[in-house]
Amino acid sequence: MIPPILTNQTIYNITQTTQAQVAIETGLKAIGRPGFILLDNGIDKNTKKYSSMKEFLYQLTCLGLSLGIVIPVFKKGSFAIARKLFKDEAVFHAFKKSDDFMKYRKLSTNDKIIKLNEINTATGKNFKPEDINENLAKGMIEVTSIAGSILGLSILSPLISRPFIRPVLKALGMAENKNDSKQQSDSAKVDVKA
Amino acid sequence: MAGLMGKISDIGKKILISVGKNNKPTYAVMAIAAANGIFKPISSLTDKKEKPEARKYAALREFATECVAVPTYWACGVGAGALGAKLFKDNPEKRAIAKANMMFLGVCAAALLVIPAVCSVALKILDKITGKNACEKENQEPAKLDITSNAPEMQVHTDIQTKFGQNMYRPNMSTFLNKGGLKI
Repeated sequence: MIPPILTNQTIYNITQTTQAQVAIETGLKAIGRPGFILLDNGIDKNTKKYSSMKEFLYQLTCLGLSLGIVIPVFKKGSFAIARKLFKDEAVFHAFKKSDDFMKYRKLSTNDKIIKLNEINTATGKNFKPEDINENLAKGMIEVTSIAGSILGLSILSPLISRPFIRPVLKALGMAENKNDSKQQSDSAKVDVKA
Repeated sequence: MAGLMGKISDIGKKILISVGKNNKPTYAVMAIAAANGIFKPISSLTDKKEKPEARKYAALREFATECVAVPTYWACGVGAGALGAKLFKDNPEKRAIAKANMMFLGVCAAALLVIPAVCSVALKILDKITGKNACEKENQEPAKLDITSNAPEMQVHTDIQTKFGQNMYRPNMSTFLNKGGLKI
Protein backbone atom coordinates (compact mmCIF):
# COMPACT_ATOMS: atom_id res chain seq x y z
CA MET A 1 0.00 0.00 0.00
CA ILE A 2 1.34 3.40 -1.01
CA PRO A 3 0.58 6.23 1.46
CA PRO A 4 -1.61 9.03 -0.02
CA ILE A 5 0.90 11.63 1.22
CA LEU A 6 3.03 10.84 -1.83
CA THR A 7 0.45 12.22 -4.25
CA ASN A 8 -0.95 14.98 -2.03
CA GLN A 9 -1.38 18.22 -4.00
CA THR A 10 -1.03 20.46 -0.91
CA ILE A 11 2.32 18.92 -0.02
CA TYR A 12 3.36 19.32 -3.65
CA ASN A 13 2.55 23.05 -3.53
CA ILE A 14 4.53 23.39 -0.29
CA THR A 15 7.54 21.56 -1.75
CA GLN A 16 7.61 23.98 -4.69
CA THR A 17 8.10 27.04 -2.42
CA THR A 18 11.64 27.88 -1.35
CA GLN A 19 10.45 29.61 1.82
CA ALA A 20 8.65 26.44 2.99
CA GLN A 21 11.56 24.21 1.99
CA VAL A 22 14.06 26.32 3.96
CA ALA A 23 11.76 26.59 7.01
CA ILE A 24 11.12 22.83 7.20
CA GLU A 25 14.73 21.88 6.50
CA THR A 26 16.08 24.30 9.16
CA GLY A 27 13.47 23.10 11.65
CA LEU A 28 14.55 19.50 11.10
CA LYS A 29 18.20 20.50 11.46
CA ALA A 30 17.30 22.15 14.79
CA ILE A 31 15.99 18.77 16.00
CA GLY A 32 18.39 16.36 14.28
CA ARG A 33 21.78 17.91 14.95
CA PRO A 34 21.31 18.58 18.72
CA GLY A 35 19.71 15.13 18.99
CA PHE A 36 22.75 13.41 17.55
CA ILE A 37 25.06 15.42 19.83
CA LEU A 38 23.03 14.20 22.84
CA LEU A 39 23.28 10.60 21.61
CA ASP A 40 27.08 10.73 21.28
CA ASN A 41 28.64 8.66 24.07
CA GLY A 42 32.14 9.98 23.48
CA ILE A 43 31.38 13.38 25.05
CA ASP A 44 30.81 14.19 28.73
CA LYS A 45 27.32 15.16 29.90
CA ASN A 46 27.86 18.92 30.37
CA THR A 47 29.58 19.34 27.01
CA LYS A 48 26.75 17.44 25.34
CA LYS A 49 24.10 19.71 26.89
CA TYR A 50 26.07 22.85 26.07
CA SER A 51 26.82 21.87 22.45
CA SER A 52 23.31 20.65 21.68
CA MET A 53 21.70 23.80 23.14
CA LYS A 54 24.19 25.96 21.22
CA GLU A 55 23.35 24.17 17.94
CA PHE A 56 19.61 24.41 18.67
CA LEU A 57 19.80 28.16 19.33
CA TYR A 58 21.93 28.66 16.24
CA GLN A 59 19.40 26.91 14.01
CA LEU A 60 16.56 28.90 15.60
CA THR A 61 18.45 32.13 14.88
CA CYS A 62 18.91 31.00 11.27
CA LEU A 63 15.22 30.20 10.95
CA GLY A 64 14.00 33.46 12.49
CA LEU A 65 16.40 35.63 10.54
CA SER A 66 15.70 33.99 7.18
CA LEU A 67 11.95 33.75 7.44
CA GLY A 68 11.39 36.99 9.30
CA ILE A 69 13.69 39.38 7.52
CA VAL A 70 15.82 38.18 4.64
CA ILE A 71 13.44 36.16 2.42
CA PRO A 72 10.54 38.70 2.62
CA VAL A 73 12.94 41.53 1.69
CA PHE A 74 14.35 39.60 -1.26
CA LYS A 75 10.90 38.46 -2.35
CA LYS A 76 9.62 42.03 -2.41
CA GLY A 77 12.65 43.21 -4.31
CA SER A 78 12.59 40.36 -6.82
CA PHE A 79 10.24 42.04 -9.31
CA ALA A 80 12.10 45.37 -9.08
CA ILE A 81 15.36 43.54 -9.99
CA ALA A 82 13.59 41.56 -12.74
CA ARG A 83 12.18 44.73 -14.36
CA LYS A 84 15.77 45.96 -14.80
CA LEU A 85 17.13 42.61 -16.02
CA PHE A 86 14.28 41.65 -18.38
CA LYS A 87 12.94 44.90 -19.76
CA ASP A 88 10.76 43.27 -22.45
CA GLU A 89 8.95 40.82 -20.17
CA ALA A 90 5.31 41.84 -19.73
CA VAL A 91 4.84 39.91 -16.48
CA PHE A 92 7.19 42.18 -14.54
CA HIS A 93 5.39 45.29 -15.84
CA ALA A 94 1.86 43.99 -15.32
CA PHE A 95 2.51 43.15 -11.65
CA LYS A 96 4.36 45.58 -9.43
CA LYS A 97 4.79 43.14 -6.55
CA SER A 98 5.51 39.40 -6.44
CA ASP A 99 2.55 38.86 -4.09
CA ASP A 100 0.17 40.27 -6.74
CA PHE A 101 1.57 37.81 -9.27
CA MET A 102 1.25 34.86 -6.85
CA LYS A 103 -2.43 35.74 -6.32
CA TYR A 104 -2.93 35.93 -10.12
CA ARG A 105 -1.18 32.57 -10.59
CA LYS A 106 -3.72 30.79 -8.37
CA LEU A 107 -6.71 32.07 -10.40
CA SER A 108 -8.60 30.05 -13.01
CA THR A 109 -8.14 30.85 -16.73
CA ASN A 110 -11.30 33.00 -16.90
CA ASP A 111 -10.44 34.88 -13.71
CA LYS A 112 -6.95 35.53 -15.09
CA ILE A 113 -8.49 37.23 -18.15
CA ILE A 114 -10.74 39.35 -15.91
CA LYS A 115 -7.77 40.32 -13.73
CA LEU A 116 -5.68 41.32 -16.76
CA ASN A 117 -8.53 43.44 -18.10
CA GLU A 118 -8.62 45.26 -14.75
CA ILE A 119 -4.86 45.87 -14.97
CA ASN A 120 -5.18 47.05 -18.58
CA THR A 121 -7.88 49.57 -17.65
CA ALA A 122 -5.83 50.84 -14.71
CA THR A 123 -2.52 51.16 -16.60
CA GLY A 124 -3.73 51.90 -20.13
CA LYS A 125 -1.71 48.99 -21.53
CA ASN A 126 -2.75 45.83 -23.36
CA PHE A 127 -1.53 42.72 -21.51
CA LYS A 128 -2.76 39.34 -22.77
CA PRO A 129 -2.62 36.02 -20.86
CA GLU A 130 -0.15 34.57 -23.41
CA ASP A 131 2.25 37.51 -22.79
CA ILE A 132 2.51 36.61 -19.10
CA ASN A 133 5.46 34.25 -18.65
CA GLU A 134 4.38 32.65 -15.39
CA ASN A 135 7.29 30.22 -15.14
CA LEU A 136 9.83 33.03 -15.51
CA ALA A 137 8.16 35.11 -12.80
CA LYS A 138 7.85 32.11 -10.46
CA GLY A 139 11.49 31.19 -11.12
CA MET A 140 12.56 34.76 -10.33
CA ILE A 141 10.73 34.67 -6.98
CA GLU A 142 12.25 31.29 -6.04
CA VAL A 143 15.80 32.17 -7.11
CA THR A 144 15.74 35.43 -5.15
CA SER A 145 14.38 33.49 -2.15
CA ILE A 146 17.31 31.04 -2.48
CA ALA A 147 19.70 34.01 -2.65
CA GLY A 148 18.03 35.49 0.44
CA SER A 149 18.30 32.16 2.28
CA ILE A 150 22.01 31.95 1.46
CA LEU A 151 22.56 35.48 2.73
CA GLY A 152 20.53 34.81 5.89
CA LEU A 153 21.70 31.30 6.76
CA SER A 154 25.31 31.36 5.62
CA ILE A 155 26.51 34.93 6.00
CA LEU A 156 24.35 36.84 8.50
CA SER A 157 23.38 34.09 10.97
CA PRO A 158 26.94 33.15 12.07
CA LEU A 159 27.72 36.84 12.61
CA ILE A 160 24.50 37.65 14.46
CA SER A 161 24.27 34.45 16.51
CA ARG A 162 27.81 34.74 17.92
CA PRO A 163 27.16 37.63 20.35
CA PHE A 164 23.55 36.49 20.94
CA ILE A 165 23.96 32.79 21.81
CA ARG A 166 26.62 33.08 24.55
CA PRO A 167 24.58 35.43 26.78
CA VAL A 168 21.47 33.25 26.29
CA LEU A 169 23.39 30.12 27.31
CA LYS A 170 24.78 32.00 30.30
CA ALA A 171 21.27 33.08 31.28
CA LEU A 172 20.19 29.43 31.07
CA GLY A 173 23.03 28.50 33.45
CA MET A 174 24.94 26.66 30.75
CA ALA A 175 27.98 28.91 30.47
CA GLU A 176 31.06 27.20 29.14
CA ASN A 177 33.68 27.14 31.90
CA LYS A 178 36.54 25.16 30.45
CA ASN A 179 38.99 25.67 33.31
CA ASP A 180 36.60 24.64 36.06
CA SER A 181 35.34 21.59 34.25
CA LYS A 182 38.90 20.53 33.37
CA GLN A 183 40.03 20.90 36.97
CA GLN A 184 37.03 18.93 38.19
CA SER A 185 37.60 16.15 35.71
CA ASP A 186 41.31 16.05 36.52
CA SER A 187 40.70 15.70 40.25
CA ALA A 188 38.11 13.03 39.63
CA LYS A 189 40.39 10.98 37.42
CA VAL A 190 43.49 10.97 39.65
CA ASP A 191 44.05 7.49 40.99
CA VAL A 192 46.01 7.73 44.23
CA LYS A 193 47.19 4.27 45.07
CA ALA A 194 50.34 5.25 46.89
CA MET B 1 29.95 42.97 -25.30
CA ALA B 2 26.22 43.43 -25.91
CA GLY B 3 26.11 39.97 -27.52
CA LEU B 4 27.75 38.41 -24.48
CA MET B 5 25.30 40.13 -22.15
CA GLY B 6 22.43 38.90 -24.31
CA LYS B 7 23.72 35.31 -24.10
CA ILE B 8 24.08 35.56 -20.30
CA SER B 9 20.55 36.98 -20.12
CA ASP B 10 19.20 34.08 -22.25
CA ILE B 11 20.95 31.49 -20.05
CA GLY B 12 19.62 33.25 -16.95
CA LYS B 13 16.12 33.25 -18.39
CA LYS B 14 16.31 29.52 -19.17
CA ILE B 15 17.46 28.78 -15.61
CA LEU B 16 14.65 30.88 -14.12
CA ILE B 17 12.00 29.22 -16.33
CA SER B 18 13.34 25.78 -15.35
CA VAL B 19 13.19 26.67 -11.62
CA GLY B 20 9.73 28.16 -12.10
CA LYS B 21 8.46 24.97 -13.75
CA ASN B 22 9.90 22.66 -11.13
CA ASN B 23 11.55 24.10 -8.04
CA LYS B 24 13.25 20.93 -6.80
CA PRO B 25 13.87 20.89 -3.03
CA THR B 26 17.48 19.87 -3.68
CA TYR B 27 18.28 23.22 -5.34
CA ALA B 28 17.78 25.36 -2.23
CA VAL B 29 19.31 22.97 0.31
CA MET B 30 22.37 22.20 -1.82
CA ALA B 31 22.95 25.90 -2.55
CA ILE B 32 22.68 26.73 1.17
CA ALA B 33 24.99 23.84 2.16
CA ALA B 34 27.58 24.91 -0.43
CA ALA B 35 27.45 28.51 0.79
CA ASN B 36 27.69 27.29 4.42
CA GLY B 37 30.83 25.35 3.45
CA ILE B 38 32.45 28.60 2.30
CA PHE B 39 31.16 31.27 4.68
CA LYS B 40 30.81 29.42 8.01
CA PRO B 41 34.50 28.38 8.16
CA ILE B 42 35.48 31.98 7.28
CA SER B 43 33.25 33.19 10.10
CA SER B 44 34.83 30.71 12.55
CA LEU B 45 38.35 31.76 11.52
CA THR B 46 37.53 35.40 12.24
CA ASP B 47 36.13 34.71 15.75
CA LYS B 48 38.66 36.52 17.91
CA LYS B 49 37.25 35.20 21.18
CA GLU B 50 38.53 31.69 20.40
CA LYS B 51 42.13 30.44 20.45
CA PRO B 52 43.79 30.13 17.00
CA GLU B 53 43.92 26.30 17.22
CA ALA B 54 40.26 26.08 18.24
CA ARG B 55 39.31 28.42 15.41
CA LYS B 56 41.13 26.30 12.81
CA TYR B 57 39.60 23.10 14.16
CA ALA B 58 36.05 24.56 14.21
CA ALA B 59 36.49 25.84 10.63
CA LEU B 60 37.74 22.43 9.47
CA ARG B 61 34.80 20.66 11.14
CA GLU B 62 32.27 23.04 9.56
CA PHE B 63 33.85 22.62 6.15
CA ALA B 64 33.84 18.83 6.51
CA THR B 65 30.19 18.86 7.67
CA GLU B 66 29.06 20.76 4.58
CA CYS B 67 31.25 18.59 2.33
CA VAL B 68 29.23 15.65 3.65
CA ALA B 69 25.91 17.55 3.44
CA VAL B 70 26.02 18.57 -0.26
CA PRO B 71 26.31 15.07 -1.81
CA THR B 72 24.05 13.58 0.87
CA TYR B 73 21.22 16.01 0.07
CA TRP B 74 21.64 15.26 -3.62
CA ALA B 75 21.76 11.48 -3.16
CA CYS B 76 18.79 11.35 -0.75
CA GLY B 77 16.67 13.74 -2.83
CA VAL B 78 17.35 12.18 -6.22
CA GLY B 79 17.16 8.63 -4.84
CA ALA B 80 13.82 9.21 -3.13
CA GLY B 81 12.49 11.05 -6.20
CA ALA B 82 13.41 8.13 -8.46
CA LEU B 83 11.69 5.76 -6.05
CA GLY B 84 8.53 7.93 -6.11
CA ALA B 85 8.49 7.94 -9.92
CA LYS B 86 8.95 4.17 -9.95
CA LEU B 87 6.00 3.64 -7.60
CA PHE B 88 3.66 5.51 -9.99
CA LYS B 89 5.19 4.54 -13.32
CA ASP B 90 1.75 3.53 -14.68
CA ASN B 91 0.08 6.81 -13.70
CA PRO B 92 1.73 9.80 -15.48
CA GLU B 93 -0.49 12.37 -13.70
CA LYS B 94 0.50 11.26 -10.22
CA ARG B 95 4.09 10.38 -11.15
CA ALA B 96 5.33 14.02 -11.26
CA ILE B 97 3.67 14.84 -7.92
CA ALA B 98 4.97 11.65 -6.28
CA LYS B 99 8.47 12.33 -7.58
CA ALA B 100 8.51 15.89 -6.17
CA ASN B 101 6.96 14.86 -2.83
CA MET B 102 9.34 11.94 -2.42
CA MET B 103 12.29 14.16 -3.27
CA PHE B 104 11.17 16.56 -0.54
CA LEU B 105 10.80 13.69 1.95
CA GLY B 106 14.27 12.47 0.98
CA VAL B 107 15.74 15.91 1.67
CA CYS B 108 13.89 16.02 5.02
CA ALA B 109 15.28 12.59 5.97
CA ALA B 110 18.75 13.78 5.01
CA ALA B 111 18.45 16.91 7.20
CA LEU B 112 16.95 15.08 10.19
CA LEU B 113 18.83 11.75 10.23
CA VAL B 114 21.27 10.95 7.45
CA ILE B 115 23.55 14.01 7.56
CA PRO B 116 23.90 14.15 11.39
CA ALA B 117 24.61 10.39 11.43
CA VAL B 118 27.13 10.50 8.57
CA CYS B 119 28.77 13.61 10.06
CA SER B 120 29.02 11.91 13.45
CA VAL B 121 31.07 9.10 11.87
CA ALA B 122 32.98 11.33 9.42
CA LEU B 123 34.05 13.78 12.13
CA LYS B 124 35.38 10.94 14.29
CA ILE B 125 37.51 9.84 11.34
CA LEU B 126 38.59 13.47 10.86
CA ASP B 127 39.56 13.63 14.53
CA LYS B 128 41.74 10.55 14.07
CA ILE B 129 43.36 11.97 10.94
CA THR B 130 44.05 15.39 12.50
CA GLY B 131 45.22 13.74 15.73
CA LYS B 132 42.75 15.70 17.84
CA ASN B 133 42.00 12.74 20.11
CA ALA B 134 45.67 11.85 20.45
CA CYS B 135 46.42 15.37 21.63
CA GLU B 136 43.58 15.23 24.13
CA LYS B 137 44.84 11.88 25.47
CA GLU B 138 48.33 13.31 25.85
CA ASN B 139 46.87 16.21 27.79
CA GLN B 140 44.86 13.90 29.99
CA GLU B 141 47.72 11.52 30.82
CA PRO B 142 49.00 13.40 33.89
CA ALA B 143 45.48 13.32 35.30
CA LYS B 144 45.22 9.56 34.89
CA LEU B 145 48.72 8.96 36.35
CA ASP B 146 48.96 5.97 38.63
CA ILE B 147 51.51 7.01 41.19
CA THR B 148 52.17 3.51 42.61
CA SER B 149 55.90 2.94 42.18
CA ASN B 150 56.86 0.07 39.90
CA ALA B 151 60.60 0.39 40.57
CA PRO B 152 62.43 -2.82 41.76
CA GLU B 153 63.00 -3.03 45.47
CA MET B 154 66.48 -2.02 46.59
CA GLN B 155 68.45 -4.22 49.06
CA VAL B 156 69.07 -2.33 52.24
CA HIS B 157 71.89 -3.45 54.60
CA THR B 158 71.16 -2.81 58.23
CA ASP B 159 74.67 -3.42 59.53
CA ILE B 160 77.52 -1.56 57.99
CA GLN B 161 80.45 -3.87 57.19
CA THR B 162 84.05 -2.91 56.93
CA LYS B 163 85.86 -3.83 53.79
CA PHE B 164 87.44 -6.81 55.50
CA GLY B 165 84.14 -8.22 56.72
CA GLN B 166 84.33 -6.82 60.24
CA ASN B 167 81.76 -4.93 62.12
CA MET B 168 83.01 -1.39 62.73
CA TYR B 169 81.02 -1.09 65.94
CA ARG B 170 82.67 -4.18 67.52
CA PRO B 171 85.77 -3.17 69.51
CA ASN B 172 88.97 -4.65 68.24
CA MET B 173 92.53 -4.34 69.48
CA SER B 174 93.62 -2.88 66.23
CA THR B 175 91.28 0.01 66.93
CA PHE B 176 93.51 1.09 69.77
CA LEU B 177 96.82 0.61 67.99
CA ASN B 178 98.90 3.71 67.86
CA LYS B 179 99.44 4.04 64.12
CA GLY B 180 100.91 7.52 64.02
CA GLY B 181 103.02 9.84 66.08
CA LEU B 182 106.39 9.41 67.67
CA LYS B 183 107.56 5.80 68.02
CA ILE B 184 109.60 5.04 71.15
